[in-house]
Amino acid sequence: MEASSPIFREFEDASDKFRRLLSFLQQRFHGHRFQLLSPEGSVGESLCLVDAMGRVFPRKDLAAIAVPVQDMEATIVVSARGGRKTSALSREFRQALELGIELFHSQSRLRESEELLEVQKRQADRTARVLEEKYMEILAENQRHHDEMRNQQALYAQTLKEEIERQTKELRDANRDLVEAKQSLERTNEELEKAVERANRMASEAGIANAAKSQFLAAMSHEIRTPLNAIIGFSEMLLESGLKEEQQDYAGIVKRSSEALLALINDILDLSKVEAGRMTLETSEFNPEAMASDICDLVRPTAEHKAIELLCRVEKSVPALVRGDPKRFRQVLINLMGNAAKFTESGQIELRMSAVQIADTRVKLLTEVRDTGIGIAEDQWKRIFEPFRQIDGSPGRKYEGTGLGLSIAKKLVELMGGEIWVESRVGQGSVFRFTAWMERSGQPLESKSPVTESPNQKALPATAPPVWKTGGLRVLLAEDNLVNQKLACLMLNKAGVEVEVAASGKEAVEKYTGDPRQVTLILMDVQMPGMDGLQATRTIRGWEEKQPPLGRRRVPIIAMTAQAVEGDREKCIEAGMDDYLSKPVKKEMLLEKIREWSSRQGVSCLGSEGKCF
Amino acid sequence: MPTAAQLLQKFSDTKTLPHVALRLSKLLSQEGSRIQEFDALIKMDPVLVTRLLRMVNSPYYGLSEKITSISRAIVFIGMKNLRNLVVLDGLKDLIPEDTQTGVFSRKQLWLHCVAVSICSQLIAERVFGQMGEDVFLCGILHDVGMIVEDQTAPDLFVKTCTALASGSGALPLLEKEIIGTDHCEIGALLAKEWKMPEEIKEGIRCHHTTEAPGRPDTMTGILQLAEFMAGKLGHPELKGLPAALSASLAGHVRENLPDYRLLAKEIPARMAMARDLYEGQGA
Repeated sequence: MEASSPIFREFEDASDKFRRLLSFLQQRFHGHRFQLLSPEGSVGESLCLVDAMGRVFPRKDLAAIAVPVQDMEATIVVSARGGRKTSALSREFRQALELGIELFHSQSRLRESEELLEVQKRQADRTARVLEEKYMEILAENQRHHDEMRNQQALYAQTLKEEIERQTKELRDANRDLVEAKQSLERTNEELEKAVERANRMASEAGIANAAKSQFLAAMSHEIRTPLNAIIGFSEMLLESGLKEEQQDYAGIVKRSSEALLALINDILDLSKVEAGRMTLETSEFNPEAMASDICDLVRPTAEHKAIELLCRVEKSVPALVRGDPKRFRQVLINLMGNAAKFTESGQIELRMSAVQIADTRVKLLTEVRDTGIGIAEDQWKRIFEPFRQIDGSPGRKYEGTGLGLSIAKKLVELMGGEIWVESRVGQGSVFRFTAWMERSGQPLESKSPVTESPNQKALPATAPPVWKTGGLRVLLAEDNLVNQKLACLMLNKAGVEVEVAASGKEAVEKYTGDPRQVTLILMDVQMPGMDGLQATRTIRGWEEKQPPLGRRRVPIIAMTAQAVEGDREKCIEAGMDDYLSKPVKKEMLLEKIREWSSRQGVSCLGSEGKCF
Repeated sequence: MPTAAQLLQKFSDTKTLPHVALRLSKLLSQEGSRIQEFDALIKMDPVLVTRLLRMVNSPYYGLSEKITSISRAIVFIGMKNLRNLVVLDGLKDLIPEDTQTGVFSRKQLWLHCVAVSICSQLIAERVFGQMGEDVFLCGILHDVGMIVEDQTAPDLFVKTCTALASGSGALPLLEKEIIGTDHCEIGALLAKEWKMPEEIKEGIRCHHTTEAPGRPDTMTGILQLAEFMAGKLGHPELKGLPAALSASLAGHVRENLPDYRLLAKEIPARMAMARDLYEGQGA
C-alpha cells in the first residue's frame, strides 16, 4: 500500500519494518537466528559477510543460508537452531520461512489497512468538525441576515407609518387651510356684497349727478348754440352783402371760427353722451352704398381742390338695405373721410366697403378708408383713438380739429358691435378700418319717415347752388329769440320765402289757427317760454283734428332745437312734428327742408313740372 | 535595480483583480455586510454567476435539489468560498497566454497555484481540523509576485529562472540578486494593495522562509506543506525545482505520515474537479 504514495518515502523508516519482520520471524521460528539485509542496512545478528559489491556470504560456521524476501528489497540470512548443518535447513523449513514472510506481509497490510481506516476516520472526524463549524457559521450568518432583514422590515414599517402620519397631517393641515380659505372667502363675499351695495348706492347717486350733468350740458349747448347760431348766420349774411375784400376776409374768419367752435361743442356733447352711456342707437333702414357715395361727394370738393383722386368701392357682398343707425354710421364715415382729406396733400383716398360676415339676421360690414397722407407712427396707432389726441400735439400744429373725432368714432363703432383700428406708415399713408354689425333687411328701399329718409334721395351735392323759385310760399316762424328771428327771416326772405313770425308758442297757434291757408309750413322752435314748441304743435294737431274732413289738412311742422340731446327728435315726432333741424340752423339745410316739405304739400313749389327741381 | 513597490506600480498600472473580486474581498472584511450586497455584486459578472451555480451544484456538495439562486448558492458554499472562487478567477485573467521560456511556464505556475490552494485547504481541514478557506486564498495568491516579475521585468526574471535551473541557489536569493526583490515581497505588497486579510499577506511573504516557519498549523506552515506536496505531485512552481521541507515541518509530516499519504491520494481527484470547473484552464 505504501508503494502507491511514493512521495513520502523519504519520511518512512524502513528499518522499523525490517525489525518488525525480524521479531516476527524470531517468534515464529523459535531457536533460529536471523539477519535482515537491505540497502538501508542490516538488523538482527551478524550471520554473513557482505563484500564491496554488496554480495552476501552466509557464515559457513553457523551453517547460515541467505533467502531473498518477496516484495522487499531485502535478504534474510538464517542460521538453524543449535547451529545445525545447512542440510538441517530443509526444504520444508524454507517453505515455512517463505510462508512466514507472506504471513508477515499479510499482517502488515492488515495493520496498514487498519491504520488507514483509522486515519480516514480521524480526518473524517476533523472534516466533520470543520463542516460543523462552517455550518454553525452559516447558521449564524443566516441568523444575522434574518435579523437584519427583520430590522429592515421594522425600519421600513416604521418609516411607512411615519410617512402615513406625515401625509395624514399634511392632508389635515391642507383641509384646515381649505376651511379657513373658505371662511375667508365667505367673509370676502360678504364684504363684496356690501361693497356692491355701496357701489350701487354710489352709482345711483352718481346717476343722479350724471343726469344733472347731462341737463347742464344740454342747457349749456342750448345757451352756446343760440348765440353761435346767430354768429354763423349773420356772418353768412354779411358775406353776401357786398363787402370790401378786407371785410370779406374778416367775416369769413368769423364764420369759419364759429363753425369750428360749433363742431367742437357738438363733439364734446357726443363724447359726454357716449361716456355717460346715454348714447343709444336708433334702428332704421338705409342703403350703405348710397351712404358711401354720399360721403364721397361730401369730401369731393376738398379732394378736388388738393388734386386728390377719390375712389369709392362698395363690394357686391354689401346688402342694398340694412337696418342700423344711419346717422351714427354716417358720422364715423364722415370722420374718417374728413380726416383722410384733411391729412392728405396728394395722391388718393379710397373708401371701400364690404360685408365680411353674414349671419341669419345680421351682417358685419367692414369699411376701409385708405389715404396717401402723412401717416401715423406705429406707437401712435392706439393713442389716436383716445380723446384729445392728434398725432401732432405741438401748439403750432398744422392741422385743425378738436381731436375728439376718432375717439367718438371709436365709441360709436363699439356701440355698433364693431372695432376700429389703423395701420399706417409715416409719410406713406394710413388705412383706417372699422367693422359694424347691421341687421339685415328684406324690405325694399322706401322712405317711411322724413327722419330716416334714405341718403340716396338727398344725393344732391351739398354744395349745389339752390335753384330757388318760390312764390306764395309762406312760412310761420315760431321763435322767441329776436336774433334768431331776424336771422331766419333774412335767410328765408333772401330765398324769396315770405315769413310770418310768432314770438311764442301761443302766438304761433293763434296765427296758424286764425288763417291756416296762409301757412305753407311752420318752423317751430322747441324751447320757448310759456307754451313751448311741443305743446304748440300738439295744440295745432288737436285743432286740425277737429276741422271738418273736407277742408282738413295737416301742416308740416319742422322743429328747430339746440337741444341736441338724445330723445329730442322722438319727442318732436311724438308731439306731431314732421321734421327736425338742429340749431344753429344752416342756410342750406333750412332751405332744403323747406323745399322738400313745400313740394310735398304741392302748394308752393314753382318747378317747371309742379316740382321745385 | 527596481524595488518591489516599483515593479508593483508598473504592474498595477495595467492590471488588477476584477472589481468584483476586490469589492467582495472588502465586503468580507466588513462587519455586517449583507447577503443582498453579495448577491448584487455577483450579478454584475455573468461568468461568475454561472461558475458559482455550477460549483454549488457539483457532486462535491451533493445537494439533493438544484440551486438556482445566487443568495442560496452563497449560503451553501459560504462567503469565503465565494471570494476564493472570484479571486481564483481574477488571478487567471492576470496571467497572459503561455509562452515557454526555459524553466518558466505560465501555465505551469497557474497549475501550481491551483494545486497549492487545494493542498492547503485539505491540510487545514483534514490534518488540523481548521477551516480552510483562508489558506486556500493564500494558496491562490502566494506566487502572484512571480506573475508580476514575469510581466514587469521579463528579462531579469528569465535570467533568474535560468540561474535557478543551473542550481545556483534558492529562488528568493537569486531573485534578490538578479531582480532586486523577490516574489514573496511583491506578493505581500500586492495583497496589501488588494486589501486582503493581514494573515494572507504574511503567508505570502513567508512562504519561502524555511528558517522559521513556526508551527505547522499556521498559515505559513500549511502553505509550505502544501507547496511541498504540490511539487511532489508534479506541480512545482518552476520545472525541475526540487520540493523541499524545513526540518521541523518534515518532522511533522513524519509523525503524521498516514494523514499525508491519505491526502496525497485525494489531490488528483480535486485537481480534476478544478479542471472541470475551469474548463481547459484547469489542472
